[in-house]
Amino acid sequence: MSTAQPTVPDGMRADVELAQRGRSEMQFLQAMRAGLRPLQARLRERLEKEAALEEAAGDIARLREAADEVLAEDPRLGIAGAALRWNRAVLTPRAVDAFEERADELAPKAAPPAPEKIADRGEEAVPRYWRYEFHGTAGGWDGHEHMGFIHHELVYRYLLVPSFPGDIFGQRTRVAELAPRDTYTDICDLGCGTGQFTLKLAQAYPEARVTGVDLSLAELRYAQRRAAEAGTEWDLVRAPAEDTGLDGESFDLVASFILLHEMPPHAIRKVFAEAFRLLRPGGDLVFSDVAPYRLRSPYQAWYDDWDAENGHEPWWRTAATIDLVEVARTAGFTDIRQEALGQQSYPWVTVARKPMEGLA
Amino acid sequence: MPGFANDDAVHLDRPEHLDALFGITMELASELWVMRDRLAVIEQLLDERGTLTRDDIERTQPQGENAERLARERERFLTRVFESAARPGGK
Repeated sequence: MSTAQPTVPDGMRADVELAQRGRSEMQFLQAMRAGLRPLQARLRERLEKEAALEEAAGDIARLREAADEVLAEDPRLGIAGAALRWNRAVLTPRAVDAFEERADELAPKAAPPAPEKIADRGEEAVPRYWRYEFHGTAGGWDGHEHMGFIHHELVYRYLLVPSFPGDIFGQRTRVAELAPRDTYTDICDLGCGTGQFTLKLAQAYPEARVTGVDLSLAELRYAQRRAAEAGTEWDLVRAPAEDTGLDGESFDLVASFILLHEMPPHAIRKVFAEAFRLLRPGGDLVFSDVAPYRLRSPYQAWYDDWDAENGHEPWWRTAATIDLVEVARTAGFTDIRQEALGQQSYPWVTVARKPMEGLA
Repeated sequence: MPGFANDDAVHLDRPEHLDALFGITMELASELWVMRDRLAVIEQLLDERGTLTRDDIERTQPQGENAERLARERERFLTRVFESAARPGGK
């Protein structure tokens, strides 16, 4: 039996090997998702047969009520909910345990090359919504010194990449390439995490100086490591996306990937205002996030909303129903357009431009 | 009557207890899977080498057919767990 790592997803280290317990526990969590599929398929069949869902389409509260009525006596929904909730509750602790089991080999692969270079706006800048537990990241995104490595190399590898359809890193490339210009000189990635989207931006626009902003120091530390291993260097700042502290008019592209659904609507509005402030006149905004419910099938909209409610996603519904065109226009942007890049309208991208001076 | 022996004590009588019991079931299922996986690795290594060390077990990353077989067994195992949990009263 070979000791080599199995197929390595795009952008992940090939030399991450877990001990038997950590590997099999992570694979168990992955298999729970597959094991639930027959149950979920029958729930879907049952819901799609109901005209009530079609009639309630477009109104998520009515859609949920209609589905609740159809499934009131069906134990499969409860089992799927309890299983997914348990799965999410233990996912990060299991990944942390798996890392610790191999910490002597993995910690050197996780360490940032120059952590003192990461700018930090400090605790007083951290907004209240950051304190909520989202994505079931028990202990918080900074709950472990190497949470960035743990999340990117273990949680993504074992759970997110195998469980979600489509090429999730390829989606980031396509969004990066959707920016209107062929070249940029200064790019800011808001909510950059471990740099999954940042790296795609850096690859799409290799001449640009790239800045990544995130609230998690642990994620930024691993972003710095990933940038170094890709042969590049980014300015990294720990700050909220809506209040970066960066100089105004210092970027020609401000971008984000799946940031907006992590925050309440008033913060989303502030992020657009902050992007406007950061951009030079004529600069571009490219924000990609969850698909609006109105563009999903009734079943998919119901599932998104049910899953978000049961999956530590407090702001999914508001993000899936907010009118980002209006938000962008209110912030001062023009040339606003939206584009769906994949099935069921995900990724859903909003592109806008800060007008040249005198044209606003 | 309070203060006297209760011959038919019921402690887990709230709806939340059902979710807690489900969580315990999943913990046990996870642990059972870790053991099944470990046994599969041991059997494989014994087939290949005739002898093994603890480190051999820890370092082995199942590949190809072995990885696929384990993935199929994991999925079948969990499908059975969920199907039996969902069966009472299911339509």
